Amino acid sequence: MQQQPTYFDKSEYIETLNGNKVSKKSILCGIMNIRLHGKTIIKPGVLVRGDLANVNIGRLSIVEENTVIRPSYKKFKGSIAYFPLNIGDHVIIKEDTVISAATIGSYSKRCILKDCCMIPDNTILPPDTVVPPFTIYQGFPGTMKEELPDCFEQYMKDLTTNCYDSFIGQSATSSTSSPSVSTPVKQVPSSPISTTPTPQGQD
Amino acid sequence: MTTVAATSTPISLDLTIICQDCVVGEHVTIGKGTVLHPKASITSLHGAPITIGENNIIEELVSIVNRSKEPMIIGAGNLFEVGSVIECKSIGNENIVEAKAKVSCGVTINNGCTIGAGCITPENEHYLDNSIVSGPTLHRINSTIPLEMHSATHIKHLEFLHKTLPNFHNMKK
Repeated sequence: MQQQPTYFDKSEYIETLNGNKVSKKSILCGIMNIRLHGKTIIKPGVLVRGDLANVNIGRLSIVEENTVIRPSYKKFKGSIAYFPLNIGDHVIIKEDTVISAATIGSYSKRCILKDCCMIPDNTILPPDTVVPPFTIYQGFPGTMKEELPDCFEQYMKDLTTNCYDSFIGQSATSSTSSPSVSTPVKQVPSSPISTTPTPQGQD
Repeated sequence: MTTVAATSTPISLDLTIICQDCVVGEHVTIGKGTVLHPKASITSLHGAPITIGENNIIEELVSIVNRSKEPMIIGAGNLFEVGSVIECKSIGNENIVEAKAKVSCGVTINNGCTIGAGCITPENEHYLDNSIVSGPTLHRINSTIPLEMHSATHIKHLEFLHKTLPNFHNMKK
């Protein structure tokens, strides 16, 4: 499957050494608590609340416009605690989503999404839902609708890799092409090099 | 290198916390201890006043709009979650409006109500005390959960936000 390349203005995005492309129009609160593991695209209008708890976003994930990623909270030992939020590799989050999940990511509070599942538009998952692998949850409130074939994993890998490759920066000198990632992406956890300046150890 | 001197001052809920990306229009009064997350907006179209009480939490992308020419009154201790739209006439105390819900024009909400995620209330509705609206059918039930449950967590939540938000955001004065 070949995607049409999407071009963006290089001045609108910040590219990091790991290949993250973060729009300058997105709002990342508490930058020291947000970790992007590389090759992630964050589009304009996205709000990531790193000030409430840590946010980890895996490799080759795509977060589209106007999504809010905020850690969930729960009453814990008499006070409120915000939980860290982990989003895995090869995740696509479409427009206008609200994510307060604990793992990977979808709508509503404290949900856990296992690997390889799909949540269509206008779905609202109730709090504390666990979505098993290879399933489609749909509706309001979200319930299980269908199972996904085993090849969905490979499909998502290809899709996200394609999406990343076809998201090309345009600048005055368009000769420099981004290093292509034609090799199949393995799920080897890369050493989590945080792209954002982590607070330096005081000497 | 700037080191933020995070001296743990005793938490006072006297301050109103308004993060910098918020839009607060004219004729808006906000009570003590209310927290506005970034990108919240409170505007009045016809210049009618909006009064917001104490200790509310207004999260990201919430828009509170007064489309009518009458004043809009919001009580104390309410929680408006991400992306909700409030256009109603009056809201009481200790209500929760969940994510992406919409409270339409002319609606009156009493105390202790919950509007579920994604619900769009019809216009000119009246919600009595402790009612819960949820689901696509706007199914209404009467809550048996005592109000203290909400208020206890709400205060803790407020304290947490008052403690952490000033460390990360530039505040509007």
